[in-house]
Parts: sequence; C-alpha cells; structure tokens
Amino acid sequence: MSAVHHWKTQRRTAVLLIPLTLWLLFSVATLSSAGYLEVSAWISQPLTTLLLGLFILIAGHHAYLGIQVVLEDYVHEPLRNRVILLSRMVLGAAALLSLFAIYTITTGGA
Amino acid sequence: MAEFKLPPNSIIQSGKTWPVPEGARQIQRFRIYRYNPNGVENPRWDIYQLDTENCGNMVLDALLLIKNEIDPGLTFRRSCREGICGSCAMNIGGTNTLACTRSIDEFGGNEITISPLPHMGVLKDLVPDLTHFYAQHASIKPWIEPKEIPADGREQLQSPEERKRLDGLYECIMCASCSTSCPSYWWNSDKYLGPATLLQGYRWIADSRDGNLKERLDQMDDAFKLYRCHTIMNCTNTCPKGLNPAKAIAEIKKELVRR
Repeated sequence: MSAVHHWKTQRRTAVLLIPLTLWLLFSVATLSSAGYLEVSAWISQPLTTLLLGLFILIAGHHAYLGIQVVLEDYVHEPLRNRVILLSRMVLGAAALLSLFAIYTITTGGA
Repeated sequence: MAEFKLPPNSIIQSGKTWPVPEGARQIQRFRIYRYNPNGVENPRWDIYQLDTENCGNMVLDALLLIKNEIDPGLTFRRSCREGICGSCAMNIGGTNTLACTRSIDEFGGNEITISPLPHMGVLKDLVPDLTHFYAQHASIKPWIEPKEIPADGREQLQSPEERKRLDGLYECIMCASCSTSCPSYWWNSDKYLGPATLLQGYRWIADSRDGNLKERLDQMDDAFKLYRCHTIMNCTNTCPKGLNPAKAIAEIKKELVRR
C-alpha cells in the first residue's frame, strides 16, 4: 500500500466509523435491559447484520492502520515488520471470530 | 525499540562552578553542557557566572565572553551573529533557538541552561553532529531543475503570485532547531526527513520554475520520509525565524492527496 493511500484510507474509514459507531452505541443502549433472545433477534435483522458486519470490517481495518503507525513510530528494525504482521493477524482473527459469531446467530446455530 | 534509558556515558554529572568575577555587580549564572566524546569523562554541567554590565545583550555575547575571558575550552559554533547563518542553534532555557538573536533578559531567572541541540551526536560541548541532517537535505535535491532553458538564454520569469508561494519557505536557514525538537525525528531520524528538510522539500515543490514535481512528490510518498509527522507542532513552536514547518508538511500531504 502506498503511503498516501494508507493515509487516505485511515481518514476515510474514520469518517465511515462516525455514523456506524453512533448507531452501534445507540442500539446497545436501547438493548441494555434486553435478554439473550431479544439481542439475537436484533442481530438477525438483515439491516443489523449488514451494519454490524460493516462495523467489524471497517473498525478492524481502521484499527490495523492506526496500530501500524504507532508500531512504525516506536518499534525499530529488526522487530518492526514482525510486530506489525502480528498485529494484523490478531486483528484479523478478532474480525473473523466476530463475523463468525454473527453468522452463527443469524443462522440460528446457537 | 525506542530507548527509555540513556546509555551510561551520556548521564550528565555536575561539573565545575567558576568563580564570580571580581567587582561584579549584576551576576548572571549560565549552566552549560560540557562533553568531549573522545575523553573518558561523562558529560557535565559547568556553571559560569558573568557580570552582565560587562557583557553584550545576547546569549551569544555571553558565550563569547566566557570563551574569551573565563574558559577558552568551551566549544560552540557561531558565525554571523545576526540570525542568518544558523550556526549557533542550541537549546537555551529548554527551547531550541539561536544564541545570537535571543537576549539574556528574555530568559530571566538567575540561571540560564544551555545544551546542544537535542538527540544528536555531540562532537564537543555545544557542537552537534549534523552530517546526517545535511545528507537528508541533499536528498531532496535543493535546487531548481528547470522545465526548459529559455531559448533566449535569459532568466525564467515568475509572476508575483508565483513568487509569493515561496514566502515563509525561502527564509529557512537550516539551523536544525525544528528537526531536533521533533519527537518523531528523535525516534526515527534514520528515515524520517524531519521538519527542516520537509519544509525545504516543499520550497522546491512550490516553485513554479521547477520541472521535477512528479519525482519530488514520488519521493515524499513514503511512510517514513513524510508520514512520521503527527502534527506535534514543536517545529513551529521553536523555529527561531518564526516559520511554520508543520504547515509546509501539511501542504506536501495535500499535494499528494490532490494528485
């Protein structure tokens, strides 16, 4: 990824996260007293599934780009690239697990 | 990793306190960093005491008085004594600046601390090693690469508006105060160009007579050369010429997004 592309993507994902985060916070607040079945039903609504999936992908990507910048600042060679790769794997695994959880809930597997 | 502890040979010890000159009336103390990397001793703080009635107004005057009359061993760079050569850049009272353009009164207090520009190798006392800093400046090709040589062999013309774009850029004297105040430059100066070189880089990007814009911007499109700038703004805060390197860096980022 070119440096300017990295910079632009970090800002574009930040802008997309503003409405998505507000939506998520608002929804979680209204569900604060809901039980397991209600929350499962909420996640299974097509619009919720779509927005939650988008949030996970965009927030994960934004987090990866941001953490990469921090690691580039403070971790020097020869560790730098290995630590960045590790951060990418951890965030990727977290995103995959989250998506898998949504998939399981929407297909009624749980 | 980033270094959180100083190497043992850079821990500064207390040094010699030179006596008050005889008959002195207005005493000003200077706490000055002394180090000879070829010797066996650690760096030390020496205390010099001057009679300001016997001394010029500027910090550089005090340094010259110390060198001429108290301690000829004190080493520092100086040349023009009017803020245009950039030689006497050093850290005075906690801020990188030029010793020749700052008056002793400005710093107040009864003791003024003077140390070399931060986070650079020290050649001796207040003289930092600027070899890498100058090499980085050379890497941005700080000269015009003309679009075409005018057929009549005369100068390339520039409109007043085009010339105006260079204001706030051409005044930079490469004293290194800004770059050595920048934490990003401290951590990553091996690759990050730093505010001084980036301001100079923009000075040639902004020049209407230059024909090398694409190559200049290609060079800047780099995570380390340019994007280590996180708008900390120490550079703009410290510039003894009142310039704004942070803005110049932002302009380079804008040019890259635009193209």
